[in-house]
Amino acid sequence: MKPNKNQERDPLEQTVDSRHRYLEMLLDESPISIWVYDPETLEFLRVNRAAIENYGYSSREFAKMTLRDIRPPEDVELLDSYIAKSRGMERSVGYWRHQRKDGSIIHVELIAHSVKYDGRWARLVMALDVTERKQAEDALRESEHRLELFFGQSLDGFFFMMLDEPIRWDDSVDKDAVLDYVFTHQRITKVNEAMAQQYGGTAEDFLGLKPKDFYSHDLDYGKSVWREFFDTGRLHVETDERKLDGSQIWVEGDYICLYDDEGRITGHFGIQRDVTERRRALDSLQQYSKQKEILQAIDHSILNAQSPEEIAQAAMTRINDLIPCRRASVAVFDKEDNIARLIAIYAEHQTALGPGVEVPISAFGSGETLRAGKPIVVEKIEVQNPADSIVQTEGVMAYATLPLLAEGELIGVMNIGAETGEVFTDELLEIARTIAASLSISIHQSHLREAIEQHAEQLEKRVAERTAEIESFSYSVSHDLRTPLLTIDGFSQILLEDHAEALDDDGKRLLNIISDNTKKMGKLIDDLLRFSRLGHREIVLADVSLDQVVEAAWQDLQMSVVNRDIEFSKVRLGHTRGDFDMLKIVFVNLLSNAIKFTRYANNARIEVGVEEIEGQSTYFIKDNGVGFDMAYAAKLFGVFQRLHSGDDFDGTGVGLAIVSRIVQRHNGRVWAEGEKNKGATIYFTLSQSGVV
Amino acid sequence: MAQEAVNLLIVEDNAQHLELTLRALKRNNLSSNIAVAKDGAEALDFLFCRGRYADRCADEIPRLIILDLKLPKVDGMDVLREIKADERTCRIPVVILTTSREEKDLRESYRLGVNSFIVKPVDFNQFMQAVGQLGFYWLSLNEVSNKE
Repeated sequence: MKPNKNQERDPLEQTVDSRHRYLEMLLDESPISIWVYDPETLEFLRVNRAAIENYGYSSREFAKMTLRDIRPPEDVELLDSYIAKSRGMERSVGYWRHQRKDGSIIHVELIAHSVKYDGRWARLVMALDVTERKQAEDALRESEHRLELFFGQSLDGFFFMMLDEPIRWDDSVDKDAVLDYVFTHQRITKVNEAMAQQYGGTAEDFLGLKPKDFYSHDLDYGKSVWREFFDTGRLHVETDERKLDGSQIWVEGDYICLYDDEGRITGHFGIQRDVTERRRALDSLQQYSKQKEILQAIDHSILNAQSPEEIAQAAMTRINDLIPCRRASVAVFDKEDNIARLIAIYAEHQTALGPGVEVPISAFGSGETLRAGKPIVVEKIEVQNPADSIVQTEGVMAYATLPLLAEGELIGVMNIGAETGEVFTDELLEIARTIAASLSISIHQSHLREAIEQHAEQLEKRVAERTAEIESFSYSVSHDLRTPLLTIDGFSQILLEDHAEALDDDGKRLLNIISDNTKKMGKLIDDLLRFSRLGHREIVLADVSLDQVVEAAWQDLQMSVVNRDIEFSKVRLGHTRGDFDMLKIVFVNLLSNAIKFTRYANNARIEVGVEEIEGQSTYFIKDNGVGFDMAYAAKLFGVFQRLHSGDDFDGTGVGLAIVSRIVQRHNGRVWAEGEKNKGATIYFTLSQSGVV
Repeated sequence: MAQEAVNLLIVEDNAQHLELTLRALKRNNLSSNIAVAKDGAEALDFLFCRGRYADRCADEIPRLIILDLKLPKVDGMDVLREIKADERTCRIPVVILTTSREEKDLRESYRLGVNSFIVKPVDFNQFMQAVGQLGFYWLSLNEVSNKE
């Protein structure tokens, strides 16, 4: 400060004067509006330049104004009451709204002091314009409010989870140890309503919760999630967490790490949604398809199984894949003895109740419920019979019994034993019911099959018995009927020889008739026996050359063509599948018939051939003998049926019956065509496929 | 009077058939030294010198046995079985002469070691021929091995 020309004046006065000038200078140079007013009248006594600039009034205008004039009208009352209150206060501070000359409102921060001005008490006021600051503050407050609203109203869960102390997360640290710290020192600091609801609590419940609280069921899993998150800084993940009540919740979330200036993690922010429903739907879909697959596999093996035991075991082998159980068994009922016999079991452990064990039917509970097709579920076993106590010692505390019903009848049960009754959900009982239904049908069918097989066995046994009876019958016929015949013939001859002189010619003739008939009877018996033996002789199938068969048959008949002039012709017949000996009998009979019935023919002709009829090789033996009336064609093949008298042609009437039986046993067909006195043709076919 | 050794043992229960058989043998001059058993038990008693044949000399064995199959007490097949199973009798030729044509009898007889199986023809003339031929063959032509 330079000395000026007023230095010679009274020092004190000079001092006061210079002070006054300094003050004046300060007042006018200050960017802050300053004024002095009269506390009584509120009239402005002095205003500085800044005030004049800020408020828009000239100093002359100010001189005529009071404090009230720079207030918005609505604030005047407030001002008056404040003035009244603050009277006598050395210093006061306050925020006010002021109105400029142009009517605009400004916010000011005021500091007022009591001062002596021109010899009387006045108030010096410094008014700092804080309008801009206030607007910024308001904007911030507004923004915070909006964020808060967003936070609060959002359906997604929001939260901040901050660490007590920032942590360093890089390769220089022991991450396991850091995670241990994080799990106990990172706490929820802010959480919205949606988030609280997801976990079934209030925001207050959440505050302070740590990672370990959300992953108490599997801390290692939780830490692995955290590790990945901290490694990448952000994470989108679905996690299996626990609600506050301990129940499961699947959460899909986006998490962003928060860092401080030094790059240390301070915590994180997260947005997350409850996706439990979606997840369960997906899980149940997967589970459903897996169950379906197993059910199909079980069905498949049930279908391939034969006995009830195999069928039941097919189901038991995989039952635990569908229904988590400790043991399962299938029992079939024997109603007569009132017992149920275990035919297959699944057991996780050694069991005293294995296949073959028998228990009273009553051990499985109400027959009425089961007959109605309903399962019986016992959530807690109360020992009522020895079987109960055995399964209980083997760790089965609850069981479900499903009926096996066939045609409305209870044929058995499927029993599933578990450690707790909770296993038996509606869904699993439905699965069990499906398995039980498959078992019922298959076991029932198997029972039917067994019954049929048993029946067939009995039939076979009866047939064998009958065959044996027939054999013993034919043995008797063979022996006992022929025995007296020899006696009759023998003694007739002895009579003729020893007592010839006592008999006249007619007597001898009569004895010869007896003898002839005895021989005829013998032949009849022999033919009948041959025919009956054909029925139960086993057929030996082989590739047979029919040409060789015919050759052999013709050889056998050489005796009967002695002294006969027969034109015998034969084409090649080829091969077939059949029994050589039996087919030879066919040709022997047919050829001998042909030889026999052409006895009186001129130029006797016998022709053996084959022709294709309806795609099948049809063999025939044709002669030009006496033939027969087609009206009797059907009678030809019956036993003892003869179309010609014994006087004309010998024979017993069994030959064609034998042919017919052999052809039938070769699955073939035989028929005859003929005309009286013009000859006969016998046709027959032989099946290529098989024989009976 | 010392009996002559038996040449032929006929086992036949039917008296008439026996008569016819004997007539046929006689006609063929084969009727000497014939013993007859009416059933299987008697046949075995005779052969093994038991019962009423206890005094018979066991060394004297017949040159031929004609055996019917259907017999009272012990069946012909059982008689055959015992004959062929016993050291003393197994070398005696046995001819079965029966009315039975049963295949299984044939099979069983040959299995047991029968020497011939002849079905009695119903025709007496044929019967006479058959018995004559078998007697001639086994009693005249055939050489018997009596001792080892």
